[in-house]
Amino acid sequence: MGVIRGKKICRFCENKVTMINYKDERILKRFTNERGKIIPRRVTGNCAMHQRKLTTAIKRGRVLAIVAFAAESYR
Amino acid sequence: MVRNYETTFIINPQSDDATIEKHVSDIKDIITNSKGTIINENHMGTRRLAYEIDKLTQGYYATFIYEAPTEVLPLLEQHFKINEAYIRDLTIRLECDPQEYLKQQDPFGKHGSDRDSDRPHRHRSDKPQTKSDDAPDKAEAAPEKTEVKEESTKADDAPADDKPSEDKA
Repeated sequence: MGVIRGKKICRFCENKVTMINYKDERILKRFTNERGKIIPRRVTGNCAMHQRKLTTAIKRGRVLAIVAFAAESYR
Repeated sequence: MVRNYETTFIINPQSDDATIEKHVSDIKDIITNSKGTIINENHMGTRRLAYEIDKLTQGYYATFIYEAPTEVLPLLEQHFKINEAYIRDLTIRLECDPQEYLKQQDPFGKHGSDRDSDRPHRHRSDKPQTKSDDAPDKAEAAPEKTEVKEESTKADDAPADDKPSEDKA
């Protein structure tokens, strides 16, 4: 039997975020795992719109070497 | 057609400050020379790169938010490609008002710090912060534990006294 939890609320909706800054390492790292993979929204509870924006932000951050494509230990 | 853009680029930090400054002002000149206006200029300075680029581990980051005709972009692109001092560059089109965009740069800055505890994933770099948060909790928990121990020793004594009495009966 799984533990029933309350519905997860999108962190970005909660803070009324309309744009996600791709230069903010803190946010991008918060939603990627140790390998540097983007965490699915079924885990984080993000809404579809913000997950979409977050994904582009993380991908832009990767180009600018703000977050890694893959963690160093796994390369 | 005039549009809002944001260009971020990384410069090789091994060159001296004057040349880095020159590389930044070069970009500014390209924008302003083709009838563009710079709205915001942000020098993030030398930062650690998330991965090695051309054997470099650090880079000098600078960002421009500007309003310019579309003809600027090929000029910038050419400049970035020719000059080897620029490690990376990224230009994005801002769909919204640049002033509003600037306001949103730090969305969790004011409200997010108090909710760090329930973030989905903690990174190694974040550990010192969480440790400092946990420290006072542990200090509070410690005296409680000793109290519990005292109670349990008392509880152990009680049945020990009862048992012999039961045997006697």
